[in-house]
Amino acid sequence: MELRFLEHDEGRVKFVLSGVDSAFVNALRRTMIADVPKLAVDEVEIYENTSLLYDEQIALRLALIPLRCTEELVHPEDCECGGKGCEKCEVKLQLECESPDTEGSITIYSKDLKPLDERVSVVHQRIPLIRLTSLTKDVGSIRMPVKQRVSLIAKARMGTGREHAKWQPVTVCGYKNTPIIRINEEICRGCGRCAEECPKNLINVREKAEISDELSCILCKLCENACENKAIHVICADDSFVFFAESDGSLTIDHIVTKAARIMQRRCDNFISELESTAAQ
Amino acid sequence: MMIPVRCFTCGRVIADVWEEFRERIKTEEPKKVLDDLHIERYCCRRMLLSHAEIVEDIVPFG
Repeated sequence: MELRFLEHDEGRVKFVLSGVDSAFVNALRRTMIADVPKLAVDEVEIYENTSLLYDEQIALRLALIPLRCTEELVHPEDCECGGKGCEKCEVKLQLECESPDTEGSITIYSKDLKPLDERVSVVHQRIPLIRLTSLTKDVGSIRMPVKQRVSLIAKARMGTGREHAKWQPVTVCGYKNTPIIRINEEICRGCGRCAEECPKNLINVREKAEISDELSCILCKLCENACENKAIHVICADDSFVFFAESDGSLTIDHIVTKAARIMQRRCDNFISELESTAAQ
Repeated sequence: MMIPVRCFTCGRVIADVWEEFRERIKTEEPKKVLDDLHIERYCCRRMLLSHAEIVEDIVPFG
């Protein structure tokens, strides 16, 4: 197995993984999407909501906000408290907001969501959550200001993408077979038709066709069809993959990849011990 | 009604750049603004480009 990084920062990664089969890379991809636990708002206690959004809409918007936690919490199902919610498996956030005193409106952002636990923080500060508007209404002969108010407590818990997409730590996560582009220089006349067809503009033609960045090829094979002499061939390697993944911001991409690998390892270990115990009987 | 928090297709958070996008497209090319804001994929780009903010319009009916 060989690993080579192409891009790598806190939020996204792109690497070439060679010497493995597609089943392994696909298992890694599926584990990253569905089995790496992260924190998200799961239950919302709404005390007051006179805004234009329904309770459910607010709850959904809250759930989709990425949250960052300094320590990894326990999944409620595995917690000592039996899933009722304790310090180890739950963190709370509070939102208290009101429309302006005079006529007009304000936007409530994700930064207005106040964590009641110092371990947790909101990643994106400027996600518009709710729009609150104050109106003046005539009630009989009196002009009355009508204000909107939202007051709630959100409970965030650990979960996995298998349960709900809000617990999915990655956005884009996938792979492709490593492209290999072969140009037969004896046949190539340098007509440049392949270069015109290539949607990624990877082919430069001087005397003969040349490839600039083979790994960016999307395997569309338009160049193959364009070439009259059949001088260009696009092949995909079946033991080498270009893997790319992007985090939604709540966890670092390093954490997601290593955690996914650990989960796969643990499953295999469980399988082996199960096999051994069955064989011993 | 309000800008969706995430892209419907890939799940990237897009709502955090909405207000900046809305202000900047008044004077700049939307393409340039989206590139500046690092909205790369076309699924995320359409979220911002095709969004209509109507939350203010329904205030009288609320």
